[in-house]
Amino acid sequence: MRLSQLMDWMLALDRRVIYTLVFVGVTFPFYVNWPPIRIDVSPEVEATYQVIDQLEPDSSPLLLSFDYDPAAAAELTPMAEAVLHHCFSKGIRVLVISLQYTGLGAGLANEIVPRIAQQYGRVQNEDWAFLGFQPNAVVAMLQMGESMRNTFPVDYYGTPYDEIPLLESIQNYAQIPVVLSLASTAVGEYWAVYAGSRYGLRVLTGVTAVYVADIQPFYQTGQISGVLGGLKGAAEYEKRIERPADGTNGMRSQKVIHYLIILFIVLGNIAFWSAKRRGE
Amino acid sequence: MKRQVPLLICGIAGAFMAVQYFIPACLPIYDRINDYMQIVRAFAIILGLASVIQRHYGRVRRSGPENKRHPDWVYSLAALVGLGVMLLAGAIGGREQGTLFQNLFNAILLPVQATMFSLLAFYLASAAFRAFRTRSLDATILLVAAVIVMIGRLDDGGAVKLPEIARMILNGPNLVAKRAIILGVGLGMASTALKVVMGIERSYLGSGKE
Repeated sequence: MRLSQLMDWMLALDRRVIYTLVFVGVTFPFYVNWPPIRIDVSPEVEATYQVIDQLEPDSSPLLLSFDYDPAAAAELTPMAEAVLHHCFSKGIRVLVISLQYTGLGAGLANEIVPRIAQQYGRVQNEDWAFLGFQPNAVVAMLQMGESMRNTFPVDYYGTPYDEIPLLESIQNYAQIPVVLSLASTAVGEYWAVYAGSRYGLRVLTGVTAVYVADIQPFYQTGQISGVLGGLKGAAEYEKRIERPADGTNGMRSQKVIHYLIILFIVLGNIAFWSAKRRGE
Repeated sequence: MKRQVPLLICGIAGAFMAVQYFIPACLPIYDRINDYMQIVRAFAIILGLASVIQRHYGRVRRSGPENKRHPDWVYSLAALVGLGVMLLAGAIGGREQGTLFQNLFNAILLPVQATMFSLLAFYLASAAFRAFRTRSLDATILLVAAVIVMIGRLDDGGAVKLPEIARMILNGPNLVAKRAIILGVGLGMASTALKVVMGIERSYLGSGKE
């Protein structure tokens, strides 16, 4: 085959070939633990870890908000699991809510939080509680600044606010040291704008990789104290707590796919310039 | 009156929400308005639910002169059945771990949504191959920056400091552009809000005449 024919073949490459390579590139690393990966903990993830690590055990809880739906679960669930492992292993209490507008975030929280709490023998409503979901994120954030009880009169399972021991001393944000919002939309920003600026609540966020660029300005100004960015952020947190899991495993696939896409870009451009030189 | 009353309500409510930030005495009213907003939102969900049922029921039932169903009526039926099953499962069986509601969520909704989103990887790879061309200087700069960030985010290329360069791109040019956009959007939102409160912007009232 002549070079020009090869270039023509590449330009007309069937998309199914590309799809097959992507499929193999994503799935293969999960079965063979290859390629080797290097994970360096970034300052944003280190800051997040430090803020959570400094919370007192059996004291005021971390407010953990599941602000994402299953579409973003591949990136954000490893973060949620890593943070919960960190908290429950140290005895840090966790107060869980969801402000994801369709309510699907609540379903995710209901699957993840009790499962991990059980592994450490943490007791519901004493070491952790799940208050459920509110559809209007901004209003719920503002309401919680005045009264948590008014915002969530009952928890996700129907238990009245006043019957949950963990919430005995919690009136509003004044008794909450920090919130971590795991968000696939702009809700992470809203926490900084509405809860952080107005009520002085310390805000951490975990966002999908495509959202890192949007949230980074808030981290640089100090309006957000720490950022977990995409699957890599999850992998870095797992490294920090010395518990590699789905985030670390997923980074192998991500590595293969990143290089595959770069290869596609290079090959596509070689074929493009070759055709251009031949005057096509 | 049809236009004046909503304009008046909007003007008063908007002005109050701007002023209350600076006057602590307004707090009880502010709390009450927040409650109202949550109630309105809850009713919006009910309205949305009614709309979904109405639309899909219209497709499932036979109608028109030929007494025929919509060609895609099976999908509408699936949507209605899904809606009904989840409602009943949640209302009757509860939502704790191990209940039918949570199992349906874990076994169907979660993988379905994750699958839909994961299709992006395939489109992205195909688009990268077909569309990401170095046609101009701008496109070349964009392409080089993208490749550096992709490798740098993997913590590879440490020997030539790619992770540091990727970080520099994200925290430098990217941040400058983002901040400019955020400031622009913020100013735009403030001016639009002001126009709505003052009654200059009235498109939210619709085009109906008095």
